[in-house]
Amino acid sequence: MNSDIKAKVESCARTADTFTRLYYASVDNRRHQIGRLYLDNATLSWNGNGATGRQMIESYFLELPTSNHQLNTLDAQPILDPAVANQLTYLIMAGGTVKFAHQPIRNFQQTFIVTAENDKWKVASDCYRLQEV
Amino acid sequence: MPNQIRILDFGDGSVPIQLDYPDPTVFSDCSSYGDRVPGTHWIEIAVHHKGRLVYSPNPEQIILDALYQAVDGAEFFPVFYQRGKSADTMLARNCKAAIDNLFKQRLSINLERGASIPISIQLGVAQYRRDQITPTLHIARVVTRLMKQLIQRDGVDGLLNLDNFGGHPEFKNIVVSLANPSILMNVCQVIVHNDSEFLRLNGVILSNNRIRDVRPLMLLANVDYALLDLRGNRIKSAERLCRALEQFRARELLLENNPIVKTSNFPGSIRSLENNFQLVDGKPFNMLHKSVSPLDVEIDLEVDGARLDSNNKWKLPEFEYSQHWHAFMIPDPIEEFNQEVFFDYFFISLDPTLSNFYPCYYKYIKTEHVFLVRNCFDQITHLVNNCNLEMTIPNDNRIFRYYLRMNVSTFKQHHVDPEECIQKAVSQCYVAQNRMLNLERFQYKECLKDVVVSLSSSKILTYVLSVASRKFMTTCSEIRLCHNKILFLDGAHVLGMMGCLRAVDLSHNWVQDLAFINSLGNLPLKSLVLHGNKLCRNYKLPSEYVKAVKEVFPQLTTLDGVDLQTNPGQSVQKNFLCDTGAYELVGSFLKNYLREFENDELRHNLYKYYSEDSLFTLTCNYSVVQNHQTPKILQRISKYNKHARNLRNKDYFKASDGVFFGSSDIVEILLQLPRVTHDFHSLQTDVMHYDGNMAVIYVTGLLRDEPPSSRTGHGIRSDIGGVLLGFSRQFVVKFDGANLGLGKRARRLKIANERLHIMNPSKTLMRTAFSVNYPDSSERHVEEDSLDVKDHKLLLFQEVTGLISTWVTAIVEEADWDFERALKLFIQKNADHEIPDLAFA
Repeated sequence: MNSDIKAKVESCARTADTFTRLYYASVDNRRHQIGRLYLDNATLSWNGNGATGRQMIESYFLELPTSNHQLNTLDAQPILDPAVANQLTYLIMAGGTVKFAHQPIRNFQQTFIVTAENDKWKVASDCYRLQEV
Repeated sequence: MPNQIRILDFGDGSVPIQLDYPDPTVFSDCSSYGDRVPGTHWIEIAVHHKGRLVYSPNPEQIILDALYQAVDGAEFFPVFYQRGKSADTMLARNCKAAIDNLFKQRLSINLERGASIPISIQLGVAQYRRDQITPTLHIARVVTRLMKQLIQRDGVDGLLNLDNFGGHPEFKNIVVSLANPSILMNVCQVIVHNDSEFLRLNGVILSNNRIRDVRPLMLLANVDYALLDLRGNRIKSAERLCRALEQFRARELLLENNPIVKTSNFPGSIRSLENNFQLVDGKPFNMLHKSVSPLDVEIDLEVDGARLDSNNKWKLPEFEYSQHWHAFMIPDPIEEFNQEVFFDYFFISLDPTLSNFYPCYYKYIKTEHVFLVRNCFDQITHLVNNCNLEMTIPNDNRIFRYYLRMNVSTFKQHHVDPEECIQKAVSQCYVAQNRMLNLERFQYKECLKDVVVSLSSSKILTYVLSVASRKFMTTCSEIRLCHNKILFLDGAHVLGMMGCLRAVDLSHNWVQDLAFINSLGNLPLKSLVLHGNKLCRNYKLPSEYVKAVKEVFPQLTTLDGVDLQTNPGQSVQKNFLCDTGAYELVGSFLKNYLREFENDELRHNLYKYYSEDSLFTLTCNYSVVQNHQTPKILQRISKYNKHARNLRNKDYFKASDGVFFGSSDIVEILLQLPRVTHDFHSLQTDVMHYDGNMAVIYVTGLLRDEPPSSRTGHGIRSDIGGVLLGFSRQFVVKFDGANLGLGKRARRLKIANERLHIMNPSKTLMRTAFSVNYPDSSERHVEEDSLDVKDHKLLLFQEVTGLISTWVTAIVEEADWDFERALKLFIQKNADHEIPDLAFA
């Protein structure tokens, strides 16, 4: 592994940490602002239910019961594809437990592809899987 | 009666009759002729119709029919029938039994339509002398002559032609009608007595003789004839016909144009003649029950009916009150449309507010779509005047001009009655054990093969539902209406009578908006299925859709099979595809990758998926419950933990430590991981991105960590067996630009990023683990194709068949990637019409 890639892996790790902290804080406490974290044409798969576009994703989240996420694993990789070379793109993989209102605590897995847009990290795709009890 | 002497000379060589009326007594309205004797002299009968029959088409026939009825089969041969203004007269002799019967009726005869007419009789009006006119002699002479001139018809010879027998010119002075049983009897006797000719006799034509009773034919029985033609008579009673013909045998019996064929129980009513005749009116006896299209046997579209086209529209009002069939003739020389498509287009022009339009006996004849309709004059008027007899194809605005043949056939008893067919079909659709009325693909029910029942028409749909409602008022709890091209359901109130109805399945119809099925909202439905309707696409989010439906159906608990009491729109969907084009990718890549990973001997094959730039990471979050197995499980989990990373630990400078880079590093790590078996049924996949260059594929599910086999040399015999683990894998894959193989579009796939995550499985997953048996890779004898080879096969198959990719994959997979089998399967499916048009690119 050359130093260039090492640097990318390290900065990707930092981004993953800051981004997920922002993200879960928004989902749990400022749900109405969650749309800001997504690209205009982002894709969401929430337990296999699809939603595309920031507006649709926002309204999807607003219909979910209130939540409280606990992160216990975090992983991230830079996507080194030349097609996205001039644009930093990271794969962020989070996992932990979540408590939705009136529901038992469950494990969840969430995988983002984030990309930099105007100095801000935005979600291009978001896949959320809730483990059955 | 004028009391004067008249001489009747018939000019045929017979001795004239001298009418001198020696006895002035005229009997009328009495039941006895007292002490008089009818004797052998001439009597005169007068029928006092008083001009009442002047407007009837054939008053003489009506009167004679009534007389034959009244004499009740007794010998009776009237001569010299005279029409008069207020009374008709005739002479007869040697008919005591007949006279007696007339007196029994108090000298009054009953016309067929119910009126009765008085008659009067004067006895002995003329002396009988030898060689005076004798009807029986005349008849015998004519019959004998005809017996010598047996005719041939339709390839059958030896036929005695007694068609319209009374019309022979020799009978101008006598009244000969085979409707008179005594004359028919007389005729039959003459036939039988012509010994030599009788042997040659091969059939009898008795058509158009107003015959009611064929009992005299018994005389001709017990011979095998070719034909008995009784068409155009007045045979009404099946029982009498069967009795009379009990011993009569012929290859074919013709009964057309007799009242009997119009009775509702015909042909069942003549069942007992089954062994006497092979054919009845051209149809084999056992086929009589099956309806045969009048377009095949009765109607000649060249000549029957009156042509109505855009040039003579003004003629239309003539047919306003017609009860007859009208034929629609829509030219389509190359048969561009099949029946279903044709009617889809045709129905667009109908006016839904006018009467129900049921095309019957649809058939494509030579170059035209042809069907019959009746009792829908308002629709026809609309099609003629507003649509100008043009059918427009909406997509390309082409116009098909057509014409009608009005009154092409009268309605006959055995013709289809659409609403009767519907009632029958509905009754047959009820599944009693499920209390369910299954009207799915209603048009395809056997009872409706001769009539097109378009449920796109709201009025027809309402009619069908009202029939259903009346029939199954208290029993039916579910109605299935799927695949019926339903556009509106605005008459659901008729289902209100069905007290137990709780579920309606409207899936796969053409409903564009919830408002169009509003009327269902008044029923206490618990379950509704709407998927496969255009209205579902009006909503972007499942929750929006559920909310909209619940507004109309507030009491609904199940929508499209999903329980609404749980989180609406948040039920788990097993797979997510951002692009349906990714279907085959997920199917082939994931399955192959996971299979190759499972087997630690084949795992090194995975090398081909990685490039020098590939990245791989492993994470593990497995919390161990403390019990006696804990140490052993920890030992197993440690194999994953050894290489796992977790950015939660925030040692960013070491961040690159747990990242494996390049194919050799990655495969080395993969080979260190334990042998596993995936529960393929547990997999949930999400394809988040798919384009020509890249795809993002996630999978999560259950695997079994297999105990290390002893030959690995560690010498530890595991006693805990397989350990169930939850896993997820994330792939970012790239397609090599290089075009490979036949299709030149096949691509090599490389993994750019991959992550494997190990976690605790859910209790539900553990309970159902490996419950569905997927073919085990180790049991597969056939060498699995590599992805490249499969790609080639898919492309080749696509080029050969022209199918779109999802269908290509489905068929090739069904054939287990055997190309020849796949082709056979395709041909078979295509022949069975299992492949829709939209499956072709």
